[in-house]
Order: sequence, then structure tokens, then C-alpha cells
Amino acid sequence: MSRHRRSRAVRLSAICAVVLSGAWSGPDSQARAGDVQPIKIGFMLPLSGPAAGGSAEGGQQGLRLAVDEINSRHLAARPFEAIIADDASDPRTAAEVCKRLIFQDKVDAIISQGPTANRMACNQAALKAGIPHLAALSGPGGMCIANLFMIGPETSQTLHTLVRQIVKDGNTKLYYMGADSSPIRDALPPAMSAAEAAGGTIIGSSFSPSGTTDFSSELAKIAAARPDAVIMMLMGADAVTFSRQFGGDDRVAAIKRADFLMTEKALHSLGRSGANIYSAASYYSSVPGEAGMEFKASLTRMYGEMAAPDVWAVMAYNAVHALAKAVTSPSSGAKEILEALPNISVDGPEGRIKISGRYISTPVFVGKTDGVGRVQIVATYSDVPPAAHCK
Amino acid sequence: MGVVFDAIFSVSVFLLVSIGLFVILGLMNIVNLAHTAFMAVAVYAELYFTGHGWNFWLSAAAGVAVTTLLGAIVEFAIVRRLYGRHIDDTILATWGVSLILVQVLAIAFGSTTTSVAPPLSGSVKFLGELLSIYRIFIVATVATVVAAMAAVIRFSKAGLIVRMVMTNEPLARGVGINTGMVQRLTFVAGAAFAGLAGTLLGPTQGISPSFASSLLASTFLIVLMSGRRLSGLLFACVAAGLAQTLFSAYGNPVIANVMVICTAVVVLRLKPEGLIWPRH
Amino acid sequence: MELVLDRFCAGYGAVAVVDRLSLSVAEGEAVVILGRNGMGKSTLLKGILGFLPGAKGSVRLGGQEIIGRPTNAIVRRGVAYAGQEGAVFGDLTVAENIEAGTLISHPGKAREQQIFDFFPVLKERRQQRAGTLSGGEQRMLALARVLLASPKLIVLDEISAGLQPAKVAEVEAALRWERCNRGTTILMVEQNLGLALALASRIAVMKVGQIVLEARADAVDIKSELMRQLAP
Repeated sequence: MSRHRRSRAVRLSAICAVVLSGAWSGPDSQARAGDVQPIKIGFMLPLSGPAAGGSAEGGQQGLRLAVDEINSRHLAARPFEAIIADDASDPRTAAEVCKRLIFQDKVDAIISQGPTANRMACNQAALKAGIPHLAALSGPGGMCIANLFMIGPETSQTLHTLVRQIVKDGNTKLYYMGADSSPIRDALPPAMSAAEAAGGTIIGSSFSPSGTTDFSSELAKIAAARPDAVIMMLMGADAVTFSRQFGGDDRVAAIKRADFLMTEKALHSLGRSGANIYSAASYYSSVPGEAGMEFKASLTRMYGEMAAPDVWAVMAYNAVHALAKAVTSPSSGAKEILEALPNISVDGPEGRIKISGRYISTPVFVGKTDGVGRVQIVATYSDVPPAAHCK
Repeated sequence: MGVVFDAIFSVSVFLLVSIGLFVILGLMNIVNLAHTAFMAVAVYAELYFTGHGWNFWLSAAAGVAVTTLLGAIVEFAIVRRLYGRHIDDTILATWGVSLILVQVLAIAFGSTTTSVAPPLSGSVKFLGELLSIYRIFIVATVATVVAAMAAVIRFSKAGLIVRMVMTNEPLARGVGINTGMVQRLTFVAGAAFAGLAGTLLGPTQGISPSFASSLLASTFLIVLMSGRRLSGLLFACVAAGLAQTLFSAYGNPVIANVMVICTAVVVLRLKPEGLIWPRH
Repeated sequence: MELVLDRFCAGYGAVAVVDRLSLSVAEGEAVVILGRNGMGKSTLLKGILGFLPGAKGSVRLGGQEIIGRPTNAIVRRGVAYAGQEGAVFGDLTVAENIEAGTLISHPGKAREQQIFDFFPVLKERRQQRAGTLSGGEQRMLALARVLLASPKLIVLDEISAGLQPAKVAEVEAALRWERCNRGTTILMVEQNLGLALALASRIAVMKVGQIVLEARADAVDIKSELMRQLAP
């Protein structure tokens, strides 16, 4: 008897809840019926696992700032809404996450920022569903997939600019110190051509395994080769380990350094032993210009001390704005975006980027660290085109 | 000639990292897979204190203190329950501890790589080779620590007690030694050695939560090669250091790491009891 | 020092090898436990010393309950023990093994000299590793360590095993001196009937975990009674 009464009470309160919530959302949903549905963007990045860190903070901030700007200034024909998803640094998880974003959350576009394997795993579902996928990072070129665009410089754009600048500064003999990974080994021959085109040569190269704690043998080889400069192509903690040991080793004191993969933050953490290191990127927090200043100011307004105006933030920001430009009418969806993207350019914090094939032409900045490891820009190249064009 | 110094440095680093593992395995029969995680905690403590304006040496001492305290806590909370259990259980438990510590560091300090400035810079010229002063300092410290440890073990009463517990734990209890306490102190000492290794190597490395984790496999094999004797540890580190340096210098550094492990496997196959002198 | 066992049980895991055994050894007494192999004699001694977790019943040492106490705490109350196996530190030298005996007693040089007088072979081999000594020499080293601890209660498990008759006599002399001059209480398990009868004030025979016979060592017919009890 009491059980019966209780179940009735439950049912009653459930009905009440449904009625109340219906009454509450009623006017809103009616108002929306005449309005346009938002464009949903899925943003996938590694928030946990070994690949987490680095990009996470900046990427999310750049994305949110762009979405805010688009909605408040009505920069697109439909409002924007972002869903952030963690790929756990794992390709299989990435594939699942993208399926969920596409089939459950019904996103209209995907932006990703993470390892290549995760991006490719994710893109299987995106390609099949005809969803545009923007990879907001820099990476190797030569990729031609119908729905996938790299909204960041490909390796050749930054690396070759860097090589040219070093040679131009009078360092003609270069040494290539790379991580033992195939993209980095593959980047050597084109870098060699770039050096030769500029009048220099790469006189030696070494590749060290990930997790190397002692680079003394490599430093001895570099000292013996007597190059004018070393191009460091090491990843993660290895880059800092190498730089530390390089900075503390007087055998190589006269040799200049250029780094390709270290973040601004990592360079800064080197302090004095990271002085006078060349690097190249599509964005540094010290890039000159109105747009760059405003970008930093906006992020600081939103995030205060936690603001991370880094290259990751800029690439995510640009990717969202590229999508916004592709949404030209209230009926624009995935298909229309895909059609529009190849002709889009965005005026970002670093200058103008323009989608060209599956990559972008972009400004490239060559920086050099000062005495306390802060990057100062020494040369600016606008409109550097991507090397690989898809037919 | 440079290769010789590089080899000496490499041997010193192996000794520095493996000595804490060695005392814990030798006296407690516990493989402490959290050893490099302890090193990471030490280096982050060092980073934290230097970031708060302390000088390097003070920060390093604080890093060792923090790690020692952490060792005591881990012993009390976890390792104490493992005494007398099979060695596999201790491997699993300490591995779990290391995963937790690395995650906690990642949450507290972020995963981005950073670094700490070395306290000594510059180099000296010796036999035509430029040697970094900080590296000489590390080699000298390791030599001092190993010599002091050998002297304590050989000549002091504490050393005698340690050797008693190592050779015959029940009999050590039978002559009145609180072997449980000795083992507890050993674990804490092992953690302190991890702290020393972490804070000393800190300025030579990129610092991330997985700091030094690439050294775990090779030092673990070194400790197995040691035959649980300090002299054996020395031989094992020399073997590993030579393999590492020679293969990096005259071959390929990618192969060098593999060669360290191959050396250990071959040694353990030929001499399962480790690299020890036969005694008379 | 007096030792009183009351309904004492000890064993390995679930197997109780010693089953509700009661025995008392008065101060200054020397009790020798005899019995065939596998009757639980060694288990009894290990149990008293606290080596076997899960021992039950009561063990009172000098009036104080010690059941469940750790071995090192029991030893520090004045007990010295030499087991049947692992009674020396094999990797340590003879001198260091002897030093092990002095860790809690600090007996002084004169006493050390006296021990070397009892066992001259140990003095010759001071710097030799204990693990390289013969079985008999290792037994003597174990006894020397026990004596140096200046204990109030000596517990020995077959100290004469593997000794030549001449060496058994050395052991007998040392223990006899210890009893007469220091009044040390002794509890020992023995196979050597001669040594047992020479040293003991009382004999106890153990069978399947219990004491089946207790008799004064100077009782008439003790030898024939013991032979009967110990016969297979």
C-alpha cells in the first residue's frame, strides 16, 4: 500500500517537473524557432595523457575568444557554439570522440590540435560524414585529404625560413640535431636543399632517441664538426635537456643555435643558457602590430593572469574565424563550409593568413632569444606560401 | 680523450641514479619503481624553491628534504604493508605510486617542459679537453658519496648492522637488531638518494613530470647486475656507462640505449649472480 | 632467567607443530629436550624466540609475558639463540660474527679473550668469511656469538651437530663454565645423549608437539628409559 502511494508520488513529481521545465523553456524555444540554429564546432585536443600540456591552455582560450567575438559581433550568419573534447592522447579514443561529436552532438565542423595519429583516426569519421576538419597546428606538409585543412604553417614554411635567415646572417655551415622520428628524419633532405639554395650547407646530422638524458657524445660530435650553427629538431623535454647541456658546454660555446620545436615558454625557462637561440614560428607573443596587441588584451580580459597568448591560441583562434567566414548564410552547413574554405583568408593576430590548397600561406617570424631567454623578433616574412600544393 | 671524460660522467650518472634503488633492493628485497618519480618530485621542489628566490644549493637541499619526507610517507602508507610479500607485489605497488606522483606533478605544475639554471657555469681545460665545471662537480659528488658509503658499510657499526640484515635477516633479528626499523630507514634513505639524484641532475635536464623516467629501465638492470654488492654496482655502472658512451660516440645514440640493455641481458645470462668477485 | 610455557602452540601457517605444550625452566637450570626428528623441537625454540608469527598460549620470561613480541625485543631481555640453520652471517668474517654477539651486551676484551680460549680455531680464522668455515666450525662460531651476548637464558638447537668428539668436549666445557660461573639458564635441543646427560639438570622428551616425559638428569635408570622413549 505504502509502496503504491510512493510510486504515485514519484510519478506526480515527475509530471510536475516536466510541466515546470516545459513552461520555463517554452518562450525561449519559441523564440528560437524563428531564429537560426547555432553552428556547432567540436574541438578535440589531448587534455590528458602524455601529449597533454603544451597546447591545452592556449588552444582552448583562443577558441573561446574567437567564438565570443563571432557571437557578439555577428561575424557569421549563424551563431557559434563549441564543444571541447579530450582525446586522451590516444588515437583510438580520438576516433571514438569524433564519432560522438559527429553523430551524437551533430557538430558542423571539427577543429583538432594534437598528434598526427589522433588527427587521422578522428578524420575517418569526419571524412565519411563530410564534416570539415581544421587542424589548428603546424606539422609536416604533403597531406591532401578532401575535408582536412591545416590552419598553421607546415614544416617547410617555418624551417626553411629559419634556415635561410641563419645562412643570410653568415652561418653557412649547419648541423642538424634531430629527434629519432620519421617526420624529423624526412625533414632533413628538403632543409638541406633550402640551405643550399641560400648559399649554405648542412655538414652533419645526428638523431637521438626520445628520453635521452646525456647528450655529451652528440655535443662532442658537434664540436668536432665545427659548424657555424646547430639546428635543433628535438621534441619535448629532450629539447630543453639538449639546450641546457649545450649551454653548459664550452666546447660548443662558439656555435650558434637555432631551435625548431621548443615553445616560447620552454625557451624562456632556459634563462641565460638559452640566450641567442634562433627560432621561427607563425606567431610569437612579441609580434608587432595592432591586431597582435588587441588579441593579447582580449585574452587578458577573459583570463587575467592565466591568459596564454601563444601559437596554439592563435591557430585555434584563426581556425574558428576561418569557419565563421565560411558561414555566409543561415542555411550554411558542413557542405557549404567545405565549399567556401579554399578561398578564405583571415586577418589574425599575426597578420593575414590565406587558405591555399589544404594549407595556408602565412607570415613567418624569425626570433632570437635575448639574455634572459625572451624571444625578440629579428625578421618578418609575410605571405610565406606552403610548399606542397594538392591537385 | 673527450670520450673518456664522457664515459666517466655517464658512469657517474648511472651510479647517482641507481644507488638509491640499490640500497632498497639490497636491504628490503623491494624494487622501487617509484624511484624516478621521487627524482621528479625532488627536481620540482628544487624548481619551486629557486622560483621563490632561494639559491640553488638551498633549493637542492630542500628538494632532498622534501623527497626524504615523501619517502617516509610512502613507506608508512604503502611499503610497510609489503614487507615479506612477493617481489611482484612490490613492483606493482611502487609502480602505482610512481603513476600517482607523476600525475600529481602534472596537475600541480603542468606538463610543459621547463628547466632550472645550473649553479656553476664555465669550464676548465684539462689534457686539452674543455670540461664543464658542473659536470666535474657531479662526478666529484658521486665519487664522494660512493666512497663514503663504502667506508660506512665496511668500517662502521651501522654498516655492520646493514650487512647483517643483508646476509641473514632472521639472524640479525636474533642478535637483537630491529630489522623492521632498519628496512624503514633504508627506504627513506633510498628516497633521499633519489632526491640527491634529482636535484643534482635537474640543471642538466629538461624538466617535465616524467623527469628521468627514461633512466628507470637501465638503472633497474644495473641494480640487478650489481649482485647486491656496492663493488658490483660500480662494475655494473662502468659496464653500462661504457656501452652507452662508446655506442653513442662511435655508433648511433639510438643503438646506445639498446646496447645498455643488451649488455645487462648478456651479463645476467652469463653471471646470474651479478658482477661480483668470487670471495675466499 | 626463568622461562615458563603454558599451553604454548606454534607452527607454520595453519599447521600447529607444537600443540598446547607446557614446560617450565627455573632460573639457573639446564633443560635438554630430546626427541626424534620431526617432533617439533626446533619449532618450539623458534616459537619461543618469536620467529613464528601466530604462536599462541603463554610464554613468560623472568615473569613477563613475551608471546607476540618481536624477536629483537625478546633477545634484548637477555636471551641468546643459535638455531640449527643460518646461525652465522655467512658473508661476514668470523670477527664480525663475534662482534654481532656483542651488539647489545658490550662484554669487554677479557671476555672475548676467554671465548677464544674456549675455541682457539676461531682466533686463527678471525679474518676468514664465516660461510667458508666447516660445518663444525660454524657451530662453534655460533656458540661463541651466543656466549658473548652474556645472556641470562641460552637457547641452543643441536649445537653439537657435526662436531668431532674432541670439539663436543670443548662445547661442553664452555657451557659448563657458563652455568657454574654465571648461573646462566640453558634450554637446548640435543641429539647427542652423552652431551645432554652431562649438561642437563633436567631432561624432557618431546613427541608430536608435546612433552611426554620429564625427569631429573641424575635419576636412576634415566639412560635406559630415554633409550626406550627414543627408539624408533
